[in-house]
Amino acid sequence: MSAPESTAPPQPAPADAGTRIAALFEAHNRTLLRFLNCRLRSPQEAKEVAQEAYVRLLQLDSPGGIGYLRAFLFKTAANLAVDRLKSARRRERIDQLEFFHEQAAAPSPESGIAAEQELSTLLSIIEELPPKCRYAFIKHRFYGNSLREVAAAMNLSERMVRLYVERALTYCRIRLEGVDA
Amino acid sequence: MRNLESMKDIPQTTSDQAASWFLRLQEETQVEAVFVDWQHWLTASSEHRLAYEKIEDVALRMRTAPASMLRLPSALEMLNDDYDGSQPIAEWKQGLAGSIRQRPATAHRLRYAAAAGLILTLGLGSWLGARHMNFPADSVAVYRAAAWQQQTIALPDGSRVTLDAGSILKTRLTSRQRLLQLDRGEAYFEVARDARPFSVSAGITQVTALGTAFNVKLNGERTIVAVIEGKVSVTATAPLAEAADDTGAGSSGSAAPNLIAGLKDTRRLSTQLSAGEAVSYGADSGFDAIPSEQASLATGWLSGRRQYRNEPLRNVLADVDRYTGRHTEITDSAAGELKFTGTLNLHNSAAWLQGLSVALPVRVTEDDTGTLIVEMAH
Repeated sequence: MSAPESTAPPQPAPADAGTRIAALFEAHNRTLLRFLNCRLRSPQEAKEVAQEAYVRLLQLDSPGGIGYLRAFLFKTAANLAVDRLKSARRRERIDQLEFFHEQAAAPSPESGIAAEQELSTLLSIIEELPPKCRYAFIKHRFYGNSLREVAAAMNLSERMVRLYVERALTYCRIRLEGVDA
Repeated sequence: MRNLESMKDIPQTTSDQAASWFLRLQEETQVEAVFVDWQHWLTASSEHRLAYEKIEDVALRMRTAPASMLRLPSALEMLNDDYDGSQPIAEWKQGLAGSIRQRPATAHRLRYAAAAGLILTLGLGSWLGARHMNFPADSVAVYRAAAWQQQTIALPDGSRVTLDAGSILKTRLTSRQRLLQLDRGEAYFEVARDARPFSVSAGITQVTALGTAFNVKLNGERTIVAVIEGKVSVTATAPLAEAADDTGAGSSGSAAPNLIAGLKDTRRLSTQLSAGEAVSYGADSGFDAIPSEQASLATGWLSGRRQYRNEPLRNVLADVDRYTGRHTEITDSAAGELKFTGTLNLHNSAAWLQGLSVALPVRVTEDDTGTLIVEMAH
């Protein structure tokens, strides 16, 4: 008990930074992949971006404390994901609607009746949302419009649109919990 | 402080916070501080992490629906939409259902306006130990009858509840049971026959029935149950021994030993009641049978006339408060123990208060805050 194990020094020597980053990455890999998967909707791309973020982290001149590193990891990954989405859109020259449609439809693991049932569940849940809330939710989550874009289209504040989408997500969570139970 | 900006607007429940963080992080441009704050929040407790993962799962799962199959609302629909996001959607929807349900005002007695409505739904997962809301099979609601107004409630199972003015009732109907909880006041239950047991929790008492009619009243420290039709079982949900400790006797276990003896095995106490019978239960003395001539008065309130026989004034004043929506304070305990025999009318309970000093040796005054003060007249 002579050396405190759990508290890392705020500015560590560069020598052990690599090990610490590896540990950090291991500890957060799963969370990071989930995080990226939500953005990219492709497990493969999520893995590629996570790896790229890891490399960037190792290239840092002076890595800070663990809290900072964690935040940096996710922020870097988020930025890389945005870049990837943008270039993908440019490259493939497909409109957003089709892009999202394709991405969403491709990795469906289930087939037949179960998938059909699941789809009708999801559609009916979305249909239950109050109209303005549904508009914001669909535009933001399915058409890939930013909150600002949705806000402009609806003539509402960005804050209001954010609230609508949050409420919609929570409602979906409650409904899906009920469906699964 | 760097936390202030990004934490601003983050709502209360963990689940709401998770949804809020999720959206924040989905936005394209975010400063580093947001990620730092998010990590603080995420690693603060495993509950946070689980809530966050849950929202991630939901978002991914919802996304599997193709955008082309979603119906965007029309401009007219959006124009007529009054949902403003200030409450959770499920709660808001239940509110709508409540206002539709109240439309037929069956006012065959007095003016039982249906103004009091459904206030809160869902988010009640914790009461009665419900962990998951079985939506939409579960139907959960809270009814509050306004002052001056009794409210009749038609439950989805066909049962009817008449809620006395100022009373509060929670209901939860699942595929297996019908659970109700009387939080304030008094209610009369006409239970539709159904395989699911119908249980009413009131204070430290639980009443269970299959198909019958009965009345439950929270009366000070005691709960009174009267059966009009059929049979019910009444169970004490807090054993006497514990309740006796709560009253601060200090010497635990020594209070009312003769009564506790019967509870040692089960920690529960229950009794069966048939039509025309009534019982009261309190932590101090357990079950007391109520004489039949008094039991017959139990439902007088349904016609707006509440009759009392030797009732402690404090209990009568609790009823008056529910009717008037005001607060009466008994500043001297002797006044609270005075026995009242007589009638209280729903619609003249304000006048009743003014006339109280004629019936009993008390003085009724009003202080600056509008609270009514009742004390012994000397």
